[in-house]
Amino acid sequence: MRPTELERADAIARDMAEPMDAADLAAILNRLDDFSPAAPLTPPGALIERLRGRLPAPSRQRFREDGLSASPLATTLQFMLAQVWLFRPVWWGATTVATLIGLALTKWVGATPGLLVPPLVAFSLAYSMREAGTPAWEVELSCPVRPYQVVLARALVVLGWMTVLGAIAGSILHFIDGWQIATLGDWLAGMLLFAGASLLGMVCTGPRLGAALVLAGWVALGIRAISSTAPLHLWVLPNTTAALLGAACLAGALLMAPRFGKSVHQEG
Amino acid sequence: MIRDEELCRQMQEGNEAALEALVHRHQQAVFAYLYRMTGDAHTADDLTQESFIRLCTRIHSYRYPEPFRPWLYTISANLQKDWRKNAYHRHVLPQEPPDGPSPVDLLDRFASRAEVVDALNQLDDGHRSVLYLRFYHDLTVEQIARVEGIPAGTVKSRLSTALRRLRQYLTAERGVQNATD
Repeated sequence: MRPTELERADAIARDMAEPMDAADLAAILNRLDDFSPAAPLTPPGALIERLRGRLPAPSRQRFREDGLSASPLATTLQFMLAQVWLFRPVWWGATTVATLIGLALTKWVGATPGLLVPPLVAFSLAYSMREAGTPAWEVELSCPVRPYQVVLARALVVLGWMTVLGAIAGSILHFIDGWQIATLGDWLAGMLLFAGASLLGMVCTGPRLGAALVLAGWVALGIRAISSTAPLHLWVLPNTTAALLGAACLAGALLMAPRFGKSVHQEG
Repeated sequence: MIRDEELCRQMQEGNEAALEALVHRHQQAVFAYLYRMTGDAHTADDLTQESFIRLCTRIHSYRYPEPFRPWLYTISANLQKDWRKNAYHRHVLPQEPPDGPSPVDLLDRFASRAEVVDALNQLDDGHRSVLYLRFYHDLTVEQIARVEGIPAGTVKSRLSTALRRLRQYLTAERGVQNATD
């Protein structure tokens, strides 16, 4: 009798409530080896095909283990705070300087400060998605956070900062030449409209192409805007409509966020 | 190699590659367990598929790092029990021990495998399941206790009883065989 057979018999004998003769036990176990069923009738590939689509969404337990909340809103807020660190100091500084220089320029040529919004928003959103298509991006999307939460969290950081910049610009102009606080609404409505358009364009066509499309539209209109005193979007839409349209574009971008990865690959 | 428990955790995130790995690793063993318990390849195959479907739909209830195999066998064992209960109500109980050896049975018993299968069929489900999980699937007494939902002491007692009865049946079979020779 081979040592492995005796070892196996020993191991099973230890698990029995009443001992049994080792040779008897080994002989029975040898006989049990004769009962080996054939392979399953369904090949593994066919079974896997049947199971596809039955896998669940990330579990609440896993969210807890990773220190995240299962509530989409709470997760997005937590994730948004984490995203702030992705924006390097150069971005915070560059957007502030660009806003201040832009304010001086628009005041000098007599144009509206709202003119600054489209390039600031488009560049910032493109910057926030700068690692799309890289291995780091793959890692981010494999975390228990949905693609829409990635897009939403980064967009919220950009929009939050743009709002702060708008408030700073409004305050400066208010103290210099009595700029009406209501004009801040022009800034915000324009910001929402162009952010929505940029984000939708990025999700559908990839971050670089999406930003380029928005900027191309802005440049085409910008020539006329230089000599205008009205906010850029007001040529076409009133503030409320612009804000609503921007919000709709943002919602559309979030709904289409799962296809963002595909757009990135197409663009790459 | 990634552990089953880690794959299970990845499945909770909807990772299809983890599911594929688990199917490749365990489909054969689950089928073997169910085939031995039901005695019918088609039934065992259906129950194996159902086991993996339940694995997917109930993956949220898996608690990492709980051992994966006992958890999977609990699903299969429960499915097998349900199937047996339904078969009983339909009056199509499979694997009923024969009243006495027929001439055909006697011929079959010349084959060693048939002898073993016959002897195993003399055991009731509870004893067979414990024996299969310990011997063929190498689960520990504690893991079997979890699968079967019984105390560890009962597992040990069932294992002893199963092996003693098996020895008796096989000895008796050999006696019948020698008499017919």
